[in-house]
Amino acid sequence: MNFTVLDWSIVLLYLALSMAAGLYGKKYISGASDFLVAGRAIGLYLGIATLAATEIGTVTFMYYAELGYKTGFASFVNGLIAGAVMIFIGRTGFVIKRLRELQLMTIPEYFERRYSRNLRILTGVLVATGGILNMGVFLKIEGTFLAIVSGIPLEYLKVVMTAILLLELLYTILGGMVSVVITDFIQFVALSIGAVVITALSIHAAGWQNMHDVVLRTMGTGGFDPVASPSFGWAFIAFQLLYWMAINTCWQTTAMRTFSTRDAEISSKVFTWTGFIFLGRGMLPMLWGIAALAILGPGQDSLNAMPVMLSRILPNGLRGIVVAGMLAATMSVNSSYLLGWSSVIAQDIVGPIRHKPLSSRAQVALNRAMNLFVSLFVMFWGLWYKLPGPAYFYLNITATIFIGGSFITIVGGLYWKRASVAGGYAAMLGGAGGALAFFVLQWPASRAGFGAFALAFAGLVIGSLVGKQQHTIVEASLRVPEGAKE
Amino acid sequence: MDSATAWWRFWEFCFVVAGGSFALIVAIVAIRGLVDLRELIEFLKLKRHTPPGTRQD
Repeated sequence: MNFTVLDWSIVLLYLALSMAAGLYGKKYISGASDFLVAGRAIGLYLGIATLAATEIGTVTFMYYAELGYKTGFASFVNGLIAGAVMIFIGRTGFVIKRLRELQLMTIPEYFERRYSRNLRILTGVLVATGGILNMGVFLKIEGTFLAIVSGIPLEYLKVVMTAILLLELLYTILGGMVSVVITDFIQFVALSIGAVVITALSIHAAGWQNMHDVVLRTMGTGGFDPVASPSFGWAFIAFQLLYWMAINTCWQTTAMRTFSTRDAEISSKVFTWTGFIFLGRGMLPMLWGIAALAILGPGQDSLNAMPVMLSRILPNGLRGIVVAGMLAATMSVNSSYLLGWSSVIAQDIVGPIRHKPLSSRAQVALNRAMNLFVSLFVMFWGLWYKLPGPAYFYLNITATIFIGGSFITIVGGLYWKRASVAGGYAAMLGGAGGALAFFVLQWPASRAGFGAFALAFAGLVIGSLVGKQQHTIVEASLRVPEGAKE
Repeated sequence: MDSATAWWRFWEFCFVVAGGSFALIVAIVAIRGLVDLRELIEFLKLKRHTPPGTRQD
């Protein structure tokens, strides 16, 4: 066991503070819009904190560090693309401004407004499937990190991780987005402190020039040049550009932050600022992975190398702060993702299938029930499923199951009047099919990912040109619907 | 300058920008975000005490 009393005290104090803050949010829930999008009242700085906290988890640090360990400095291209695309979207308002103006609560909701109810249901099914599969490995990866750094035997840590998931479930079910936003803010500060501390220690322990020399010796030019790297290349870079455009506009948990801000102008600013954070979100943990390569050498388990390195270089006290920071990262992501995927099941599958609209109270109750369902799945999937390769590729592809088709269909819906229901169906199914080729046909991630977007695009264009035209829905979809205000 | 060195210099620069902006933005957001949080709570308190027919989003 690496943890001292001091470390445990820091971690338990942090957990108590988070729970109290989360439960505090419960009394401010008076309807579905409060539960799902915090009453659409989030300001710029809180918007940045909650967006960053939602998309920076222990799993983020683990898979990026794994990439750094395996591919050296060439991995930085992924962080650069993620940040640059987000800044571009923030500066231009591409897609996000239009979506915020429509006062949506979920991404598939747009599909009903612009296309058809049945397409919304299909999209909801694909979004929930991809999203829950994506989240399914989080607990296992997070548990691995905490076990190695704290020294807790793995069989006990599964119990601890389950308890933490239940704590998150408690404040997510009760307080919804309000609780998530409050805890995100606290967690954002904690995980950022943790990230800065680890970065400084890693550079100090491994040596900046030494990291360069080790990467050059073990990987040659491919350790620096992303085009020459055997793991990346032009096809992968092209896929990443499309992938990050889609993630930043159509990923449900990111979109919920777009929908939660006070107005479209704030949404754009949140993205611009958060884009700079995303540069660090990628490159800092990648550097930790490179430091692990320099300190431990090649031949380690690539996913575990970074936490093994941390367990050796972190002094007592700091270990507790770092683990608290990582717990913060874990809880912020898990709670937001629980809310995101459960809201899609409740709002975009169950809701539209019923012919009678649910009351606001019933919507909240249904969302809470779906939170529980998703939690149970995540617990069992994580224990059973074995990753087929680097975690980053699995996570990219499970997301692409729906974002490939969603991105193309939403962009088509917002900017091309001829985009039709038939095109939407073809795009969603084409995108899902391309992504599933990763699992079924064992395609490399770059081919499956790029293929998903290409099939979705072809499906939208051909389906729209060949299928029945819609003449009234385009204008109607741009109006704020009656009853959207509470 | 060979390719590996050129890329190395580029990634050094990117890392400094990434790390520096990360730390700076975190510091700003941590301070200013407290104000936003207080305003959100005030807004939701007001909404809770406003009758449904008169509410505006």
